[in-house]
Amino acid sequence: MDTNEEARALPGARPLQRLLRALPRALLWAVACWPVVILGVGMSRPLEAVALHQSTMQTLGVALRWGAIVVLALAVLVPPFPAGIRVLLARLVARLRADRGPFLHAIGELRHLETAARQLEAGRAALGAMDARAAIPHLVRALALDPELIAARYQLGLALLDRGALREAAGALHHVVDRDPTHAFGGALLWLARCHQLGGNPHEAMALFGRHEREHGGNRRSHYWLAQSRAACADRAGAHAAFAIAAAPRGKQRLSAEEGWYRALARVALWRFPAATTRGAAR
Amino acid sequence: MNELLRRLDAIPVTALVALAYVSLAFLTDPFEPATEQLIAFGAARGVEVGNGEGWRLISYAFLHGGTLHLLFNTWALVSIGPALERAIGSKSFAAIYLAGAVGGGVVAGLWNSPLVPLVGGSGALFGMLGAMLALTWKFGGHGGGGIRSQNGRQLLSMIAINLLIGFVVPMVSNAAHIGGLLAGFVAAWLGVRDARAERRRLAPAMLAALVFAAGLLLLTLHPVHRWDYHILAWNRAKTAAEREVHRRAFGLAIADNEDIVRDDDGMQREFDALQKSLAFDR
Repeated sequence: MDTNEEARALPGARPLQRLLRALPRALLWAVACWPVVILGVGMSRPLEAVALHQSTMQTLGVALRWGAIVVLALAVLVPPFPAGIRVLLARLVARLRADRGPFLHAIGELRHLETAARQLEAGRAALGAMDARAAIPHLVRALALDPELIAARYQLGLALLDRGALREAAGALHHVVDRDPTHAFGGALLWLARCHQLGGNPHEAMALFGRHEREHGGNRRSHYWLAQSRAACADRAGAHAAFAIAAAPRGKQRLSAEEGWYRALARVALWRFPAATTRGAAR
Repeated sequence: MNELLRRLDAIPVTALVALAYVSLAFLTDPFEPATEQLIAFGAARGVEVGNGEGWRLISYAFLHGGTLHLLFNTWALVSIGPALERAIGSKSFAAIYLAGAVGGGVVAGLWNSPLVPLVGGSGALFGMLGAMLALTWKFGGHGGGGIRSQNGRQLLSMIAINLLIGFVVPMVSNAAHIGGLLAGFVAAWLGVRDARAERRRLAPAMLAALVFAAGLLLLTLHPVHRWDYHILAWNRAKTAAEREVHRRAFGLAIADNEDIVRDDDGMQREFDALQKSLAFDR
């Protein structure tokens, strides 16, 4: 199977994922349009505008109170919740601290002389500033100037994956793995596997995650993803083994927010995938 | 003297705003102006702003409530204004000052009681801080580093300290500060572009922020959710049906009870009381 066929075999994001991604945007627009709605209602029906405003405020108050209660309950009852909050905060801080300076500098450099390397630098800087949308045109241009620039294809794969274009990301990353399997210390292999996993192709994902583990070792995140793909392929023992590695005690070293998150998820997953001997004894 | 004029020529908007601060202070009372004077010169009060006097959302940002208020805001203006004006140009600077003033007036107008007057340039000054924050964030600051740069950290500290002062010191409208900060940030983020960057489609979050800001501005100018709007609308209404609707909306808005005022006589008494309190302030 060549790269394009491979990519075509992958479905896009699942409907539920699309819905979850659309939810924050829908909430944002609901809040943004609220004053205009109040005003529009108030122009023709003043009484309803006042009632709508008051009921919105009351609902907001109740939602905030219950939200706080639910958050506290989740923090106590669901083990990954504190780790999830930590990882969300870490991502928010990283986004707030993202620096666009190098990206603007790289664009400025491109005005003097355009080369594939400079386009790659601009794309990489945009990704560093967490702006995958801005990175894509630069990386595509870099590849147009030098189709053999593997680093640009890898970065393009990451940018496309970030934007949810799973088929295209898998195509780019597959090309990188074909040419240079160890690119980015196995990063290309890992993210190609992730594309397949998100695209609902667990067998291919399991094979690639397994290869990544054999060749590069991996970390808690890659072991968690490997375990997930094994579980999706009904390999319970394999899933248990990988979840156990991801959930291993942390020792004295403090885990990063992301490692902590995957460890917490793996610990919960181990409840659903107990060791075979334990299951037998329990029966 | 020539040197001073040459310097002022480079920052005309900052100089004019500072001049307006001082002139208006002397036209009212530089030491302790009366509320009626401030209202007459353009203090922003929800009742008037919602009753067709939208210009007060700008005029309040040039008035001050006493010597200390005037000195502090003028000092802040001449400290941060010249650098920003030189960096982005006088037109953009003027636009950001006005955006900060309107943003501060809108948020304070919706947050505070409609009978409380608002004066002072601090909303607009926070708008300038918001603009500096946006520019540091967007363009990376001197020597790169974005919000992590020394500039970024100093700005964040300055904003945090001033907001804290606003929460601690009575009579300070932090709603105006927050509104000005957000308005200045959005205005600079959208309005000031780097020549190197390509023009891009507006990000959904920024577009939503613009729609929200425009909606809040319209709601400040026509506060259909507030009791003062309905009592004034009742007074202007020409038909009995219109008066009935505004009577019930007034009751609902002021006491969560449509029939707290049962008839037109009761509304007339409420209207007279409002007029009396406004006249008392004047």
